[in-house]
Amino acid sequence: MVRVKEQQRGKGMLPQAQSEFCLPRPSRRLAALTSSALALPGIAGTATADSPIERAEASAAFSYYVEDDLSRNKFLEDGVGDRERYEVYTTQLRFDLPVSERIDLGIQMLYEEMSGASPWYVAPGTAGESLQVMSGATIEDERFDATIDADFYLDKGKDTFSAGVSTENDYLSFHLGIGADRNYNDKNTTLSLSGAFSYDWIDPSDQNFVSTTPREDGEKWSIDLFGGLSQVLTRSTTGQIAINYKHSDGFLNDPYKVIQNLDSGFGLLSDERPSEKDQVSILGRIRQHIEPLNASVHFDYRFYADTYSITSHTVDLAWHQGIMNWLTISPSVRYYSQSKADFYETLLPVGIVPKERSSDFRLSPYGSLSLRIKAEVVLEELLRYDAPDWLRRVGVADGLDLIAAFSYERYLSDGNYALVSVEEDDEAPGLVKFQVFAFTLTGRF
Amino acid sequence: MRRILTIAAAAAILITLGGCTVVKPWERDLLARRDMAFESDTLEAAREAHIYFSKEASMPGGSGGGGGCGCN
Amino acid sequence: MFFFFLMTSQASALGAGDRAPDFAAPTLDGAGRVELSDYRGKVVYLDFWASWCAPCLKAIPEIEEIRSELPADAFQVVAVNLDQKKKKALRFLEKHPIGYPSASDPKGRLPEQFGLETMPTSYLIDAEGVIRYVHPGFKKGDGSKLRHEIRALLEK
Repeated sequence: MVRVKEQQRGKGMLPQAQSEFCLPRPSRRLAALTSSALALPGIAGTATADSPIERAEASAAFSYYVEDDLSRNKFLEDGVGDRERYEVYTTQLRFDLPVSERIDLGIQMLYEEMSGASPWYVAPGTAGESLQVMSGATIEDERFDATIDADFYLDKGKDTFSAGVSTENDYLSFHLGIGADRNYNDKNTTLSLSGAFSYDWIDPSDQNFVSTTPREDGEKWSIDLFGGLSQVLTRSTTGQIAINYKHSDGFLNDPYKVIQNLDSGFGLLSDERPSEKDQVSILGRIRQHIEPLNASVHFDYRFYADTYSITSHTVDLAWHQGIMNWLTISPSVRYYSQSKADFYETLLPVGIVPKERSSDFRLSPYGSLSLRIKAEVVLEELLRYDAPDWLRRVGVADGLDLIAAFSYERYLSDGNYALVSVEEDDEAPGLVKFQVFAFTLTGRF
Repeated sequence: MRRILTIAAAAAILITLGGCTVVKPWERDLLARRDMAFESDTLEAAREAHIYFSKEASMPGGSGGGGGCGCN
Repeated sequence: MFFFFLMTSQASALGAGDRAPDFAAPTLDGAGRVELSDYRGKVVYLDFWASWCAPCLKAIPEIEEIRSELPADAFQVVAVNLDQKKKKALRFLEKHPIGYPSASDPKGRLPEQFGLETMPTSYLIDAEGVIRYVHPGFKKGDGSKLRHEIRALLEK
């Protein structure tokens, strides 16, 4: 459902829908890998590769994502579009149920409302600098996402099956996945392998102004392969290495973005990307507990490369400070740097019309810095009760543990933050800065 | 290619180091802590991966699932 | 080299048919001692647990229920707590009182002797002191399975 708030003026173009805020599969796979890494009878309540979770668990999370307005000196003031950018309200729900001795079921859902303008193309300003043109209409859009997964526990590990669907007004996506975890070495080592297949249909719902290519419906399919190794290093240290490979084939363009060609006539060309894409990412993580301080340190590094020629580095450092028995305060910092896609240009020079082209800031070279703070309260045995038999069958026990968490994130991105050197012409004026406010409530029954 | 070899070497080191210390099942009290999980909050991890995937070029590091939209 | 380490596992885990080693350990509250030989002549359920182990905690109220159903002169339960910090274990027992003794072995000597492969693990020992069943982990159906095994041993 799309409700259009204002008509675009001047060029007789119809308003656009936005599809900028899109979800890859939820990270159940990540959760499964990480907890299976330790094969522990987890007091944390997460499933392990050793045995199903003991108790039924339900979680709800509410978050508010808001981007900074595009700054005046990066905005093309020509009466079209708005400096106000994206705002998203998200609700997530998750249920984990031990349905039998060796089987767990997980259900995860997401509902999201998005509104705001997003970058459309880049135009030259009076001094020759690059300025961002924003889409003219403020669109409201909704997204719904659901995934179900089943874990089957074996003596040496577990097998997982998952399926999901995701839908927005202009796209529909299905996915299926399978995975296996195996423990070795007195459960100090866990090997994880998984694969997923997904199929997406995109039907850009509004006319997009293109000069050379007619707008088309698109389909694409992807295969995603994952391999990981987790290792207990000491009584207070664990490490993990993972590699992820994805192949996508089909319509990969962004139908809501265009790129300006500085020809006489001021042509706007459609976003055109290769119809195949390969991506690889390699992830390394360490978790270290510091007993005398009642704190744990998390360090993550990810290297990424793809066939668009983009490479990126991500470093994530978090400190989890335990206070008394029930409170944990976790400040964290994330640094990210990416290089540009080989077909990325802010503007196309006169007479140049490459087969592959995009002005999307997400393919531009830049770096980002994100600061986050989280407070989590764990209240064990808040309530005690006698659950009826039918509830006991799905893992409800005789007490409620409640976990509540608040978090805040501030994200900034800039060409100057990048590890690669960024030429002035390449810095995207539409780089984003945002904040996220989130609240999560989890109950173990 | 060189990077892949480096990671493979790191993996081999990780496994070897791991083989040297075996932490017994009854010695895993610290490892069972909520703040020692690789990810203790599934919804938060999903949300963060979602946001970064939508605003950056890279794919999340560990997700084995597919899906998404026409945007990246 | 990787496969060499894969093969490393408990070479000496005690199983059915092995004699349970006699041990003596202080109780969790420090007030006395627990000696396995005191229970010769009765069927004993020996349960290794820790406060940080979720299935261990889930098992304890069920074990207490089974214990209270059976005659004390024929069946007894003995627990061994493996917490390095006893405070959490004591706090759990305050909220979930048990009618059987729990020894304390923070250094893990007993699980090493028994060759424990997972937490929790319990051993059902007959009146002669021989292990008859080993229970790794504790899942939902285990309570009724345990009742059957105990009755089988009591009938001998």
